[in-house]
Amino acid sequence: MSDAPFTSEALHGPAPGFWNNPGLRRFRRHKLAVFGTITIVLLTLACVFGPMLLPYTDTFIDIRSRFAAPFSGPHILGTDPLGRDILARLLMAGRISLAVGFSAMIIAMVIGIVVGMVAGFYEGAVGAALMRFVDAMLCFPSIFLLLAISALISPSVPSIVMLIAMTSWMEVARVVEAQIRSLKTREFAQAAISFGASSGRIMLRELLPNAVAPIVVAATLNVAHAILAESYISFLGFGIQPPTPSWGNMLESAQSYLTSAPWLAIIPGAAITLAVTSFNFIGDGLRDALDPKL
Amino acid sequence: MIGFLIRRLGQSLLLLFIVSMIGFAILHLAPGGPLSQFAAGGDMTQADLDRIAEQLGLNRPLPLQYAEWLWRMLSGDWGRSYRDQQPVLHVIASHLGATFELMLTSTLLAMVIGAWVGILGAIRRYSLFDAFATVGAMVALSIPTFWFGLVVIYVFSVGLGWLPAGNRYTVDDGSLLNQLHHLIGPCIVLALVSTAVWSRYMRSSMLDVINQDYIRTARAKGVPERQILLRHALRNALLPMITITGLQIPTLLSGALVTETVFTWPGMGRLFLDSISYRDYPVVMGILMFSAVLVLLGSLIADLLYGVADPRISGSH
Amino acid sequence: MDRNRFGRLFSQVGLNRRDLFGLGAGAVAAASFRSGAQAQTAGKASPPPPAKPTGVVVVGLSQEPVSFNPLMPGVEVDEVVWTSVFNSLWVAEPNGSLKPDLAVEVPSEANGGIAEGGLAWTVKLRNDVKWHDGTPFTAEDVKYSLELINAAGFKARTRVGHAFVKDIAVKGPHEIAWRMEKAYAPYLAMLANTHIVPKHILGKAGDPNTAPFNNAPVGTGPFRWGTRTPGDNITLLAYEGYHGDGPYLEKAVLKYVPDMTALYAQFRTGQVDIVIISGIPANFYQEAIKLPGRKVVVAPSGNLEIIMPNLGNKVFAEKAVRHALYAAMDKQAIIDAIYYGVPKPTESFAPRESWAFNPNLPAQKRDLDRANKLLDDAGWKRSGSGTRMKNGVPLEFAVSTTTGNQLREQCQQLMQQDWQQIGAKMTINNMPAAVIWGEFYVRSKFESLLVGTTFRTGVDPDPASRFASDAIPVKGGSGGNYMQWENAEADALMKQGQETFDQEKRKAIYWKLQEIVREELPILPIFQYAPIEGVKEGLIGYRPNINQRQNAWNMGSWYWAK
Repeated sequence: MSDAPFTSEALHGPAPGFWNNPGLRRFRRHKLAVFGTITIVLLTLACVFGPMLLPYTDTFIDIRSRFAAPFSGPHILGTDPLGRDILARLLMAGRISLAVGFSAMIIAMVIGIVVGMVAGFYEGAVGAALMRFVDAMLCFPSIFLLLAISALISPSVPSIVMLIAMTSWMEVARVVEAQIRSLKTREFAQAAISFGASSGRIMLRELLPNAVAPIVVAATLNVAHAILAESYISFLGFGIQPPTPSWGNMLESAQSYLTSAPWLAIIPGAAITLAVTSFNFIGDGLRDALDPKL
Repeated sequence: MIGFLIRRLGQSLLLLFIVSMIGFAILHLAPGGPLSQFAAGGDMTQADLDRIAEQLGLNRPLPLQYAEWLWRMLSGDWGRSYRDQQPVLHVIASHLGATFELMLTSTLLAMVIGAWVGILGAIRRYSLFDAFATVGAMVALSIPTFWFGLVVIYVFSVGLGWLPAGNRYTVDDGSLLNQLHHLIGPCIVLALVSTAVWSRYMRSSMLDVINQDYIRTARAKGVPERQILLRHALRNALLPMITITGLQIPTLLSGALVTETVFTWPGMGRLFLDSISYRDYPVVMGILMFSAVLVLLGSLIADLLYGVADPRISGSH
Repeated sequence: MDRNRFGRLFSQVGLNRRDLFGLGAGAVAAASFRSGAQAQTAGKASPPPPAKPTGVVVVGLSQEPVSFNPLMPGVEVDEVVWTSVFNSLWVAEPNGSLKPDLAVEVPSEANGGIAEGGLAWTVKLRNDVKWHDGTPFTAEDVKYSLELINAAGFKARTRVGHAFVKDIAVKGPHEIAWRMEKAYAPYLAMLANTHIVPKHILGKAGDPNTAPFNNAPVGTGPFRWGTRTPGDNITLLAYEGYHGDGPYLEKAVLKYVPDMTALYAQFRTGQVDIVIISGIPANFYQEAIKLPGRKVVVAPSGNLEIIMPNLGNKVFAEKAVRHALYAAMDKQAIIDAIYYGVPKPTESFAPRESWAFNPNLPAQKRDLDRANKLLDDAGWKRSGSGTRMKNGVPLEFAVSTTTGNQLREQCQQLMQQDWQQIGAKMTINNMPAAVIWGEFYVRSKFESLLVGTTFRTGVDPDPASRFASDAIPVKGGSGGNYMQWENAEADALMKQGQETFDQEKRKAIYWKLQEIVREELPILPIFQYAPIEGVKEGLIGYRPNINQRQNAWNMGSWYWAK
């Protein structure tokens, strides 16, 4: 990390033409990342505005038209076992799943950054204790941790968000800790320390902005992870409660209709895969763009 | 080297201690308990339930229960399952074979395919194959494992009828062929993610090596390309992969749990799910400790091997 | 296999003896008992069983049997092992009668087995029974088993009834007697499900809770313990020295397939011969009945699917609310659409096969106007949001059930829509089984539950442990009255029912009780359970039994038609 792409001057000073930023140019050249970005934007737009354009709501039960196959009638993607429109549910579920993904990511990032920063800055006993805790949390295979904690909480949207955040901040903490530790020894940080700036100020104003590249990459991958985690929790029966749809619980309730109505499982599964792949593409692109050395 | 080893072992023991404490607390603080399953049936009265809770010692203060558990653990007694009264180690051992069979075969499969894809991708960088491999790996990393499992069952078992829909073997047919037939589905599903990981790492590792001076020198000297790749590049590129194998263990365990659920595979994953849903505390704790040891051991061995292979590493850690 | 098979056949036909306690059910139950499987035994003649145990049956179970000591806690799947490996003194038949098993006859006041108004019991035992290891079975084993249940430190499954037993005396190698602290009619039914364990093995173990016996049980039943592959299967082997009917199968494999859909798939492909207990999911019913070479049976069950309101909750405490919710429920849609018309709606807490069942209860009819009027009259006014309010309390509540039960989740969502129309706001709050049936259930912390449960004591219709006001755990009681229902008239009736031995008189008591429960609605009954079980054609002897907790209860007499 001898030549980090952003110095604090570059971030705080006037931007030298947004579109000509070398990082962004590299990102734009990354075709998959562009594809991912476009997909996520479209998906988000569809989930936000789509439900308003549909003739059905996600919770309208019409038991007579249950199990309609996709592309066979008024319901474009067919209906579920209660006769609800799958497209409407898919889009509403997208709102929930994407929201869960983003909120879980933000919380995980905050926890991870704070823990990583403190551990990296103070090193010594505090740092060691914090990092051993991180190591301990990483010792649990993530599913084990998810399962054990999900039994503790009632399965509402906020609690699922917390649960995912609680089990996915450790990697971020590790990345940030390593960054901060190495940045601390650099001249600008040493200079700030010698001027007698407060620790908080040094961490937030000097060190953190310089660690932003790996953090952004980690954040993107974290959204992907969170969306997947939501589906795993639902699959194992601890997910978001009906009638609120999420991609995960749509999949969960489709399992027993795999032979008679396979589209119930295929559609939300494809949505999850598409969204997660897109976020991974973006993460990959960002990594290339922000830090060619990584 | 010895000092490093001792330090690492000490750290590992400390970690195990923290893990056990967190695990124990989470488990026992969670609502519900091992007697719920009996309350649901309705044929045992509250007096019966209270009495059994008392007999199991579930009413005592939590720190006391933990201290007792730890003390027993240190003296080699992992406790007994609440469900079948068997010693925990015995219970774990009886499910281990199925999981190892699955993990081993899928890891081998992933290694072979992943390495091949990665190497080819590195040699033919930016080719169509490389592009497909890259996209494929990213998609593979993004598919929910259980969903992929359901799709495999739907296509190959329900649709085509080529593969059995689950289980490790057919009752009353213990032949190797029968077992292999049952292994194909879950093995493919579990190998998917590891193959993607392997191919990505292999590709970048191979790229690193190809651009090294000695390879260029070898090329300049006119050593045949095939020999360069197999003799020099591959050997050095495989080195970092040792680490990956060790670090993949937690992912594999999680993946195995999901895959075993989908394919009704009688392994550790199922055992863990069942034990946690019946709140069989001793077994859940046992599996947690067992997998934590496995994870720590994996990373320790990875470090050691890496240190042995590349002497520059060992001192710096 | 030294006994006369024809003799056994006759004894089986002529076993409808009714004991004086009126515990068994006899005529009423038999008349209303209609089931596809019943036709098998009563109707066309089955081919004779093989002379020597032959063939294998693979029984598919969606839970894993793990508890093999029949006196320790266990669930339905564990009983599959218990009823095959062990015997009880007598067993409950499908028609509710008790058939002697280890006992020579079921004690009654008529045959002198029960004297002093129910305080003194004497049981004569068979003298031709041997444990699987060849040791003869004696009264000492019975004494040991009954004492073990009450032994301090032993994790006995239940001490209901057993706790009244005292002064157990062995009167001879095959005769045992004891006294009861009080007359308790349901004890006969309890003993029908109390399996006898061997004193000469378990008695020698240091701690019966962890004895090796618990993982390699030795019994007197038609099958002896074979092998166990944890997480996968248990193999039981024919015990040729069995004293009763059978066994005709050489081997029984209890196969654990954790997922009900996967289990059905294996039944369809023939890997599994019979699916019992959780059975086939209702959404496969239509497909399953068309499967060639498979017989699909709607087995009767004593379990009821109900909404269990917590009467300690402000909303549910009001009878008018319970009636309004009940009237707004679309039972028929639930049964037809979600359960494919398989189960039958019910108004009673007693199964319709029981002799105590009251068929004259008013039938629930969906009537939104009536529901709305009930709420209006009771002072629940509609507010701006559409949810009714009364004295600042909104008509709002949660319905909980176990997560992952897709049919129940669909049912919840239907009810949610029904109740929204009368201004009641229902939310769904589901939890994993281990959580919901823990403190949440037994400490009455729920608002309401969607649950399948029974309201009887073993085979006996006595529901006191579920309805009596001294059975509310959260108020210091020791029963299972988790909805916290208190009704003095019902209490009196149930006490009377426990102390009355004449079946006709008891019937009158329970009819009245059912009327009160229907009027007070401490539970909102939806339907009586009808698990769909599947049997491969050619497997003879499967007889669903509402009086057992699982339908492999008579596995010893199963065999394959040639």
